[in-house]
Amino acid sequence: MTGKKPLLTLTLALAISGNANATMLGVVQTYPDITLNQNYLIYDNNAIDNTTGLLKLISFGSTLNEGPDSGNSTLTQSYSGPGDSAPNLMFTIAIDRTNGNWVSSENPVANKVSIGFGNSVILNDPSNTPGFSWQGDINAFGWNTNGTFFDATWTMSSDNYVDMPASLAQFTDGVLTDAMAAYMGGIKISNSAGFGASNGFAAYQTDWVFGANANSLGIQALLAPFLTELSASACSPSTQTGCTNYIHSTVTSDLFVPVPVPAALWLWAGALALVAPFVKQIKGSTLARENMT
Amino acid sequence: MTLQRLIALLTITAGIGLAPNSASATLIGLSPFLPTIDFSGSGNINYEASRGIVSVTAVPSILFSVDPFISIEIQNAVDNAPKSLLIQFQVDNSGNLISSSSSVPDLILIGSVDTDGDNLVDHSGTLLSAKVTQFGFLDSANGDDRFDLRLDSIGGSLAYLYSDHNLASLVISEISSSYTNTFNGSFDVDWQGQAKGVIGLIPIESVSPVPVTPSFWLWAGALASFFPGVKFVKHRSNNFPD
Repeated sequence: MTGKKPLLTLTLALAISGNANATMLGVVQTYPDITLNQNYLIYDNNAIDNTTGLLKLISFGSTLNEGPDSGNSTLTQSYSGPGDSAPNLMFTIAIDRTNGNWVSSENPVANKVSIGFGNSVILNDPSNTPGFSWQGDINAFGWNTNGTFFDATWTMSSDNYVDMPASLAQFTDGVLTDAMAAYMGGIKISNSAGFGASNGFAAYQTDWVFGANANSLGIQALLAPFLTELSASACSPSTQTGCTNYIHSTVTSDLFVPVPVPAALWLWAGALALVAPFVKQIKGSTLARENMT
Repeated sequence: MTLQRLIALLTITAGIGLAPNSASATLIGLSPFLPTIDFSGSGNINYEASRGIVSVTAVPSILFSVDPFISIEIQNAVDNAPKSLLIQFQVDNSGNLISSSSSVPDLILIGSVDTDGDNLVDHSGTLLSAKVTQFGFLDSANGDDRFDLRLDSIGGSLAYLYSDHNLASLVISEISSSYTNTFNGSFDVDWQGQAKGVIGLIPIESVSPVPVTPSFWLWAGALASFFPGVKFVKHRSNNFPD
């Protein structure tokens, strides 16, 4: 796959087939990658309108991964801590509540990737607090029938970095957005509990929250800002409708750009980032020489 | 004759006790509870068939707990040892865990944490250590594999968060462009894949007696009914020598 065309064809094929069965897109994980940490998967079955629900992934932290090789670096940032116990919204996906298909929605909060800087990052502050931010738009969604795996594709609209360590010097503002404009990124979600009793399309016709200890009051208090639009009553048993299912589960997720990564381009970007300071220095001394003459 | 049979009986009983435990062609079904430690997608899971060694190496990222509330990044140890997670254990060629009698932990997590948010390191070095007691795996049709582990003998400076419980770890290995020789359900050949996941708390499994197979009970029953006959023949031989 060298561009959007084959992926677009796949997406169109899936759309035309009407998704009689749940279908994964078959996204393959690549690097660089952001792993989302301590995640909660929240679905509001009528968040947008009577036919369209909204899937949200909420995280307490995120980790930027350079790659899998020995010596590759990672950087983790947290969205909560002392004085701030709330997690952040990482991405949203609009879903047709009748069949689980992705919906292209005009709603401004739908189908957005919004991985922000961690709490410790203070922009334009002289202190050395590294952080990263990826933004973009989601354009396809897939899932397996029992709700244990989901995937999606997305297009990056911006990537920004603050005080990145030398080991991650290739991450500079806009480098991925510019270089990968012709490609789509991927998103993968794993949900160990799955849909259980409400297997298949029916799962998209009720509200639910998956994550570690999601059925505990302590976690529900931390997630409160994201639960206000869900049905107020908790389901009991889980097959009830008109209520919210809170289910303990291990939810993992990561995002990556592009599909696939042109390795040579990434190496080139890394080399460029290393060379840039020297170019500046040479330019500076040339200007100084010109001024002297 | 009686002594020989007794030895045979003891040998069989010992064999049952020492047999590989926790045979699991599927997941155990563990989902770690809080407090949890996440490890990120730069990790990998590797299997070396010649020695039957499964290794998970990764970088731990976040320690999270509700009561007390802790949500912090795991940092390198104060002696500059890089933050790291290693889980290593042995299986047979069907993927059954082979318990190790060694005192060396199967899981070692190194790093440092500031659990009370006062910008001072509270724990550094080995944060967690444990022994694997159960191993499950699932070779998913979509290529994203899962592995789950139960661990006990918890040590390290964060062991207090898991007192009176076991540890569980769920490892996700996604289909990745960086790995071409991933798990396909077999432990006869080497394989390697991407790994990320979570370590957390799980209730201690209720201890049940060592399961004894029905065939063993049948064999033991037959032996018991055979003993009087042996005694009778022996007695008659002694009384009526040829």
